Amino acid sequence: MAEGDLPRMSPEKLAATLETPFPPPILDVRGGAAYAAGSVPGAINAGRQPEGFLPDPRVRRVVLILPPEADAAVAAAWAARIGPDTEVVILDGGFEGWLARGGTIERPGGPYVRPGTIPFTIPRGLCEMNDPAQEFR
Amino acid sequence: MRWWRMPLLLLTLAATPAVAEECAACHPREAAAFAASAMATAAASPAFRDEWTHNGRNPACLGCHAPSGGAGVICRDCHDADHHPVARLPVVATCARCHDAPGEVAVRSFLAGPAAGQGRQCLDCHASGDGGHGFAGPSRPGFLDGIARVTLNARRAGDGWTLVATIAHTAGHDVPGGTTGRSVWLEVVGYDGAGKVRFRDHARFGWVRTPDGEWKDLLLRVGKIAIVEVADAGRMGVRRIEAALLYLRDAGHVDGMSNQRKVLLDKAGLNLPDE
Ligand code: HEC
Ligand code: HEC
Ligand code: HEC
Ligand code: HEC
Ligand code: HEC
Repeated sequence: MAEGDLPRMSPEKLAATLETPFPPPILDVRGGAAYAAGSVPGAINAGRQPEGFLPDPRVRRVVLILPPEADAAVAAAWAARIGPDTEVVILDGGFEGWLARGGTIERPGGPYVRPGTIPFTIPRGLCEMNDPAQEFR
Repeated sequence: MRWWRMPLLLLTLAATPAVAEECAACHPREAAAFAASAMATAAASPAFRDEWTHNGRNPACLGCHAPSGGAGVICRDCHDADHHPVARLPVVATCARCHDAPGEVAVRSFLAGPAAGQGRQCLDCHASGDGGHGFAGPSRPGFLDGIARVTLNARRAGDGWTLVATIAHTAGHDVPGGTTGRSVWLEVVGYDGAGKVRFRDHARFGWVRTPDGEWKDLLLRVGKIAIVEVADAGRMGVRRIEAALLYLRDAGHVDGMSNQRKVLLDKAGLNLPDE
């Protein structure tokens, strides 16, 4: 891979960064199928096309997971889309490098519910008894 | 002393006359800090009285809310203080007695998370700068300031945009750390070009009982970034998305929650381009 002059971050450094309070957002730009099969914990699916991505305007630094075949032009296009006020750092070796260094992977999908989509009950006073004192629908 | 605190204090003293004083005379700093904590009145708070009464005044509840009787937790519930010098307490094990239970994940999620490995423990975050006995938590105003951050991004999906929100937090355990109906809500609101609300979407992090009767702790995991996607976020002419992350101290829907029981953790906004 040749990603031009963009700064890089090693998988080890990224793993350590993930344990700090507010790590920089990690953008997985390998495409939806690769992302769904598993990515770096906390990475978001940013799509494959730089022009099809809108970055959070408050963020000042992101880490990019490029596909293996990406060249310097691809990296530059992402940097142009996200910069110039936001620093774009490339994960060294991409997702393969992350795996090779024993990085953990996560399948996306958060543990939450969308109220209104499924019937469920909200417990209250569950503390120990395994049975709540009151329930809310 | 502020006048409105008087009745509560008198109640505490009346309920546990001997114990409230037995340590305070020689340890005034710890005693004063602890008296202001939620634990010191854990069996006298309106929320507890309400549910306890609902639950047939089950004495087992007091096993954690007031093991020695009275208005709440007292010094002796943690310290075996009959003989000075008192043995040092293993912090996490001391808390586990009450904070490790089926519906109470603080201790077990702490042990599974990165904070434990980094050598931090409960008192680093919950009792600093106040004699080590403030046990500050969500009920202390300001405690929740800055503990979580939201980012809003979007990616093209066909003709539309999929919103991708991330949520990160700094707690040493899953959030909300406790049980009951406490929860964190991500509220996503879509505005059209004229500033009119076009949709409101919610994701809730908390305990639920699913239709098959199972309890599930769908919480903001310790040391993890949660991701919430909203499909077709540009629908109905939406041009601006705003998201608010809210901490709800009581069970129920975000819409019905009073402002005193609802704390804004963070908010973010994103403009979608005109097509
Ligand atoms: C007559 C005064 C007195 C009373 C009453 C008293 N303490 Fe102490 N305590 C001390 C002194 C003095 C020390 C520090 C010197 C020492 O180690 O004994 C101490 C130390 C401690 C320590 C630190 C550990 C240690 O031994 O160094 C703890 C914990 C403690 N006390 C808890 C309590 C609790 C809980 C109570 C109430 C049940 C209590 N004390 C009542 C005087 C008192
Ligand atoms: C929820 C549990 C808990 C309660 C309740 C509690 N403590 Fe402690 N206390 C601790 C822990 C944990 C430590 C730190 C470990 C240790 O020093 O044993 C500690 C330490 C202390 C120390 C030693 C402080 C030092 O600087 O070395 C004193 C004195 C003390 N507590 C007094 C009290 C008094 C007085 C009360 C009641 C007003 C009280 N504690 C209530 C958990 C508790
Ligand atoms: C004897 C049982 C008991 C022990 C032991 C105990 N707790 Fe608690 N704790 C409670 C109860 C009950 C509450 C709920 C109080 C309420 O919200 O009214 C509570 C609430 C809290 C809160 C939330 C306070 C807030 O402002 O919302 C924190 C933080 C906390 N405990 C920390 C600790 C730590 C740290 C330890 C160990 C050093 C500990 N507790 C040990 C029973 C206990
Ligand atoms: C294993 C210990 C334990 C037992 C037993 C227990 N609780 Fe709790 N309870 C806690 C702790 C710890 C908290 C505070 C942290 C939290 O939110 O979970 C709490 C919080 C609460 C709250 C929220 C207080 C507030 O101010 O928002 C209520 C209400 C409550 N408990 C009711 C009950 C009732 C009713 C029972 C008996 C059916 C009970 N608890 C039994 C440990 C316990
Ligand atoms: C790195 C900081 C940190 C550490 C370490 C930590 N906490 Fe917390 N704790 C928080 C924050 C922030 C919150 C508020 C968000 C929430 O409710 O989870 C909190 C909330 C709580 C609550 C209140 C939950 C509720 O719903 O009312 C309890 C109880 C609690 N912590 C107990 C503990 C115990 C016990 C330990 C040690 C095993 C511990 N905490 C370690 C930061 C920390």
